[in-house]
Amino acid sequence: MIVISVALDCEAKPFIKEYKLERIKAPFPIYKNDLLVLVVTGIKSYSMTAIGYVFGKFSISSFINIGICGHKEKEVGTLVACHKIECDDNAIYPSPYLSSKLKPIQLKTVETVETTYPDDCVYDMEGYYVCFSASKFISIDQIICMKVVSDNLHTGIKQITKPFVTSLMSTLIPELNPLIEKKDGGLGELVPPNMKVRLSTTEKILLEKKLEKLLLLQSDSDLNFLETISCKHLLFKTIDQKLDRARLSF
Amino acid sequence: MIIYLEKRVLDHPRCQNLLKKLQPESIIECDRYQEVFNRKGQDFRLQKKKPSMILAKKDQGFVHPIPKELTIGFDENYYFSPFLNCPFDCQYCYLQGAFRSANYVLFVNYEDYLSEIEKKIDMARGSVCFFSGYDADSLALEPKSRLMESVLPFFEGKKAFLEIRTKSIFIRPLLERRAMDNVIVAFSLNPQMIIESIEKKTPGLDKRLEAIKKLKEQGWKIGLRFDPVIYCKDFEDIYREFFEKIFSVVEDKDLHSVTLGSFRLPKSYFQVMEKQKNRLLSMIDEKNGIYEMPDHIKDRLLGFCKEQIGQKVNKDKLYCYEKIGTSNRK
Repeated sequence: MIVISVALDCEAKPFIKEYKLERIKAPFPIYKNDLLVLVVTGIKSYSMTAIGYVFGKFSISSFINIGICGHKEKEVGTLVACHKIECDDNAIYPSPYLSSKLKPIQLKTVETVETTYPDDCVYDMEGYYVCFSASKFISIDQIICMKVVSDNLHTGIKQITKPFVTSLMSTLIPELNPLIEKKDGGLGELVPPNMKVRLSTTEKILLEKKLEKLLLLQSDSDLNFLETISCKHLLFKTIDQKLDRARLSF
Repeated sequence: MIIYLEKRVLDHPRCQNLLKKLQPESIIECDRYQEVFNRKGQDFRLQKKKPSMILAKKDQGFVHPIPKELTIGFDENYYFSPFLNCPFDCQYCYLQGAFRSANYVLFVNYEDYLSEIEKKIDMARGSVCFFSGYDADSLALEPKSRLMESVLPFFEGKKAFLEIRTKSIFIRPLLERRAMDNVIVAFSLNPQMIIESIEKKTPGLDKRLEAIKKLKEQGWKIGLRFDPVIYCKDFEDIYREFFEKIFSVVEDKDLHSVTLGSFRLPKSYFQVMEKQKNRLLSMIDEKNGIYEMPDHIKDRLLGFCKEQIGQKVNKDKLYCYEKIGTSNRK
């Protein structure tokens, strides 16, 4: 499963709606569906407790921290991907994820609201803690941190209200969607988009896993057959046969 | 490509040139390369899909000794690695077990390596050879690193040998120069069927042979590295045909040395690679802290290859590494 972490309830709202997440009974605000877990962690080092809880309870493959941040000059609404996260003298380097809309930048996690923005980086109050905590459970390469700028020197922080935050956070959804499709079920690069067979998300995940295994055993496997088969049952049967042959071939 | 950069090398001319050339998608500054390269919890396989590059400065440990029994006839042997990791993806490669990260590291202070090599040459009591292909392929990243542009002129006229070990066919830096008597261009080779199966992203056998042909015609000393040879069904037929092909292109007189070894790994590397779902590991078992092929298979495989090579190459040029850390058996 994929975990999305946010610090505040108002940051979580657009995602609960978009991904039809339901709240579960837990000591922290946690929402989930079959693929995703969203946790509202709170801010500062307290946020680490919620991350530890989520990793203990669910089987997690990827972690994405999202939220609002401040920057000296960047326009409100700018989307950024954080490739280095600092807190005091410590630093971690999450997955260097990039897209055309996400600007790469450094994040500093601070204890109090930063309104002077002394360095050329974005500021938040939980990013380091949650990503550091997640890195104790999964590979750092499966951790992504993306933020949306909510304040700068020009605007200050007065305009930051709950509805304002919710509205800003919803702009991250288009950036999150491909990541979720890609991250879940492994690497998401093997299933061709133009298959004749229609598969549910769970079936896609299963297919992806089988293909990964096939390529592991036989790296030169021809996967063109995926696009020609029109029956789901036949598709999986063919892959299983190929897997058996590959195991015997080396 | 994403570049991690030690702050202290930002102004280094080699770093500046590289940044201009690579046009990185993003530059992330760090204090020391180890905080990125050596951090715990990295996913080697995931990084291998799209490696980042780390530009850094090496402070110490420029040149390392190699046990005499693992070399090609010199009295003193050292390796040096201004570059760590490799764009190729060979299933047997020990770098997967040696490093936590698949990202490339380029130490931009080549001059410090060369001055350390100079010292070793001055102190050498016998013949000495320096190997550049231990922690990286010597030529595969040459278009980026331009390492040979510094190293080859340095070795010109030196009383020391340099071994460039590679699977790459990027031989332009060599062809643009006059052949050097003290440089061995050593190609790692395997049958095409093995290359396709477990040496991902590497040039095919024909292309490597083409490169060898060009180099020997220009007078460069050639090394052949059959290390590791891989056990597979019908290996006798496959390797017989393979050796015939090799020795139709290169003759004994063109060769400086030939090395032969089977697939083996130190235990610590094996344990790391095991987590990466590497199926080739199922071929080797532990014996005295080293994972290697079962003796009966290894003896058949190496015995056969040695016999085949022996028909074409003077036995003084053939070095067979039976086991890591044991004597050469000619």
